[in-house]
Amino acid sequence: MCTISVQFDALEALAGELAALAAELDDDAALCRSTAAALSTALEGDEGWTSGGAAIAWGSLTGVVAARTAAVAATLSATAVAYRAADATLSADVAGRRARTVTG
Amino acid sequence: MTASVFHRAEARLAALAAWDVPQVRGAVVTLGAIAERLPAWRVRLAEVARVLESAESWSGPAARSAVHAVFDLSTVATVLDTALSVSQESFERLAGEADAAQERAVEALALARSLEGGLSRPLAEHTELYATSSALVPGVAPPDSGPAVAAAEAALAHADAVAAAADAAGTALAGLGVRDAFAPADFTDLASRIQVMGPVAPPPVPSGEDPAQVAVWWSNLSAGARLAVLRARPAAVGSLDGVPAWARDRANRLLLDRARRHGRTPRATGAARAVAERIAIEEAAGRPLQLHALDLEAEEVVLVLGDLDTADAVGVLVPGINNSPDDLPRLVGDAGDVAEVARAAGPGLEIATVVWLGYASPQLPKDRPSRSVAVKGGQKLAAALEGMAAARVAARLPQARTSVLAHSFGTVVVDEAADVPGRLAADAVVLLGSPGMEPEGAESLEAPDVYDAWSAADPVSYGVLLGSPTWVDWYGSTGLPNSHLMTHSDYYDGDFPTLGAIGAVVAGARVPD
Repeated sequence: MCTISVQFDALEALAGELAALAAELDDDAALCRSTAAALSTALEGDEGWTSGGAAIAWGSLTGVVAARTAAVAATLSATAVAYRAADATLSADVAGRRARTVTG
Repeated sequence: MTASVFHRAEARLAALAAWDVPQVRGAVVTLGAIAERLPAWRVRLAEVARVLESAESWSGPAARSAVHAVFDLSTVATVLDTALSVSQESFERLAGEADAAQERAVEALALARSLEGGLSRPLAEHTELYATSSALVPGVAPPDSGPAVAAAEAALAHADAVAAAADAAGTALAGLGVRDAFAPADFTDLASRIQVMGPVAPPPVPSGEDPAQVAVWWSNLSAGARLAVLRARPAAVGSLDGVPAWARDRANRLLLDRARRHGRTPRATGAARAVAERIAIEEAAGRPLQLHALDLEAEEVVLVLGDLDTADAVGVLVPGINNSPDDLPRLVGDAGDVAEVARAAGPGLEIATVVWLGYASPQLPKDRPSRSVAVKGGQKLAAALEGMAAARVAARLPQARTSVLAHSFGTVVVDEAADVPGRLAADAVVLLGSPGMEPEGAESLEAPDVYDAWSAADPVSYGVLLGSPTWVDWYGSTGLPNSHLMTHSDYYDGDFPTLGAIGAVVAGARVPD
């Protein structure tokens, strides 16, 4: 038997926390990229190129994780909205049928 | 040796001298701060995973898919965390070597001004001479070259180390699919490099001898690995000091559930029934509990009223003799009363109180409550307190104020806990109706604040049965308000003044003498 239960507020809170986590990590990804540029200019030559490249990779990796976190957050948020909408539709439908039964 | 080689050496030194080392240091500090933030980020993500997995707020097929998605994220973030830490070590080495390379390069160029014809020729000649002599006599010391050449060679060696560190900083990310600064373009690609999809295998469990190491081990697990290990090894995880309380609670409830259905002995089955009944009653009344430790055969159980992972202040009640799981109604009641007065003393504080029956409380007349009996309990209590603190450190959470509230023979257990090597992880110790402590005084308990309470109506508290009394001035503890009418079992009774004072100690609202 499949049971579905959902607490809208709790689900939205989880989505909000994931969205906040995504934003924080995305900020760090941007910081990695600017730091990479600083390293490249501070160390002229191969050392600057190599160390800057490593810092760029930091930014790329954290950016990928941030993007995925944001995607999961958006999914949860959309799910909560969809559940609320479905519940509202069902509620209106049930209310409509009940009204028709009473008046009919 | 050609002229171009000579010029390249000098040009190289000039380039090293022109490095912007403060900017390098600043960049490395920035990367360090980013790496330092990631563990706390992972803790928050793991908390989301834990709440989702519990299905308390959302259940069903879509919810399970979401759990897997967050588990995958957590696994990737865990691997990323480790890789960035290793990479950061290389960056720190790079900064140090860059500093040294520049310093020696500047020195070499300054000294070279006094050399006729510059630095390049003597540097090349010295390099060639050393190469030749090393070939003839392996391991021979380099010939004296003079300060300018020595500085130049040192600068170039440090620069080589910078290059090696820069390489290593990138190589540390190779396991995540990074090649020549190019990282996987999306999460699916990244996850495929570390094979996160599919069931998570439970990792091996450490021995548990060092709670700090256990806490680090736990913090390095992904959310999926944490759940996998607590399900596969609940007995190990449930008693592992250093693991967060929520995970121990989950593991111990699995054990409790199994024991209730398949108890091995009547003693264990009886203990399981008593523990389960108390949890059910408290939770039905809206008072959440955490089952922090459970050894049914030994009749040892630790219950937390509140949330040990997040509480601002924690009171750990260590009871004395003749206590077993059958006494949980009274023990939990005492812990609840302490929590109530602590909240009153510290409004706004999140309070957790712990019924710490984590040792073999001597049962009269079968057992004799001697010091030797308390030694084993003391070791367990010391490890438990250290584990609570270590779990917070590893999770990057602020420490709770921790007060140990020991009653009767429990005071002897605390006495022995303080004898365990390492400082007792407690901010305050309260000794209630002590049958006697070691003569070294309150300072030997290693807690900043030590309080005591006794009563003329409590002969046990005269403190001569198992050591020295706590109420004498030389012992050094601060006396709490009492009443000459209090008997040995009245210290947590709200009709007497000691309970309110205990609450103030737990909340940190009482200043010792």
